[in-house]
Amino acid sequence: MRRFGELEAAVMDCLWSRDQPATVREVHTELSRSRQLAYTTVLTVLDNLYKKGWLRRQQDGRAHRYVPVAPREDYTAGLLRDALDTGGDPAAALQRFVGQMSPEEAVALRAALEAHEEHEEHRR
Amino acid sequence: MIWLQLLLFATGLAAVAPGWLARARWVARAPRLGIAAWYATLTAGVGAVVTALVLLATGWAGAWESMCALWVWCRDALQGGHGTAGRGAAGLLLLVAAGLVGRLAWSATGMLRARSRQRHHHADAVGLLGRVDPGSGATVVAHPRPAAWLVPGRRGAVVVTSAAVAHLSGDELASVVAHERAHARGRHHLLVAPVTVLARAFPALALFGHARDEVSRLVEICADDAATVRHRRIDLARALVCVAEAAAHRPPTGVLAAAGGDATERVHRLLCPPDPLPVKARAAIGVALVGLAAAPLWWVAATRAAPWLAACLLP
Repeated sequence: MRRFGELEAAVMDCLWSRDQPATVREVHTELSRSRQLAYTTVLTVLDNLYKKGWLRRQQDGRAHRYVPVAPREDYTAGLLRDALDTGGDPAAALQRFVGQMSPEEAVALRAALEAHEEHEEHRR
Repeated sequence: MIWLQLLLFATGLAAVAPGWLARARWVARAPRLGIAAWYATLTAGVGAVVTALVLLATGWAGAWESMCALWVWCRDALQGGHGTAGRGAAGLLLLVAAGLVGRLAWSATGMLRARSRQRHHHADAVGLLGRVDPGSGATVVAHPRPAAWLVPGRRGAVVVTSAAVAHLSGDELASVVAHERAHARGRHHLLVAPVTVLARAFPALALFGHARDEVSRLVEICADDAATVRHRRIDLARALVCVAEAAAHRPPTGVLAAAGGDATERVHRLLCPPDPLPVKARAAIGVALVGLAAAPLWWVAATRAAPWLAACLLP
């Protein structure tokens, strides 16, 4: 399965901004406002996202209604947990920019930076 | 008794190398050589142990019965030549050897599979949640805490949070993206993976844990150095302090990550960069490392040429 692209992101955006489950028709209508899209394309994307566990599906008469499994913030929080939590193994994290730090260390670091910048100012 | 000399060498190396490498000042001045030094140490140590076992098993070094005695004994014992107790002992030895190899394989495959699953899901989420920022080229996800990381893979994306974009200046953000891109270009995950596999497979051997921690630390320094080729050190330092402050005041949920001592060292290094190591010193260290890595083989070859060496240093 190819990686998620711009279309999948737009579909999720659309669903996250609604409060209620949406049918394929409703999603297609909304997305068609800004791009050319076949109905079947939207149907495939929704089905893929459902199969990959991003959406829940409910039967509504003859149509399906789709709704995201969790709000957007949950997923972003999950991303950060993945990236920044290491469970004690420094190499297990995805290559993150800075590891965890205590408040005291952070204060000392900020002080060191400011002392350096002052020193540089006086030199000039 | 070459195999015994090799085992003593491996033990001595494991005891001495971590402390020596931690104190060596040239490591900070040439971090890539530092990583090579750790790998040379591991190659020499593991190589010595493997060579010792191979010598025992095949008696390659010649007529010294003591070396193939263990192998011959095991072979006879398995065939019943030393009674059931002998058979049991030989069988146990085989089991232990198989167990060690199996443990290493378990560590490697387990790590690969779990990471692969996690990373596919993570990459999917980044694709769905992130928007590419045309200015920095990074993928931005909305989150109130400044952070940046790399999603490894063929199209490794650099991800930054919206808070990072808000709190950092354009130059600072660009230096962070450059740092993460340096990880991708340098394929640093390939440098960190083998030592992680070893440390996970044999947690009792402190050398492997030290190697994993140090290689991870040096890899961050290498990325800092690479990023500051095109960006100012002060920008990267400011970005580091900003993100570190956010990390201190808002710990992630779940188990606490590695200590931030690395960030302190990195900032000091950015503010007061050490002099680079001169070319001659680098070359000399490089040659020494190659010599170290192949030490077990040199020694075995030397004992062929000068057989009296095989008995030296032993009671």
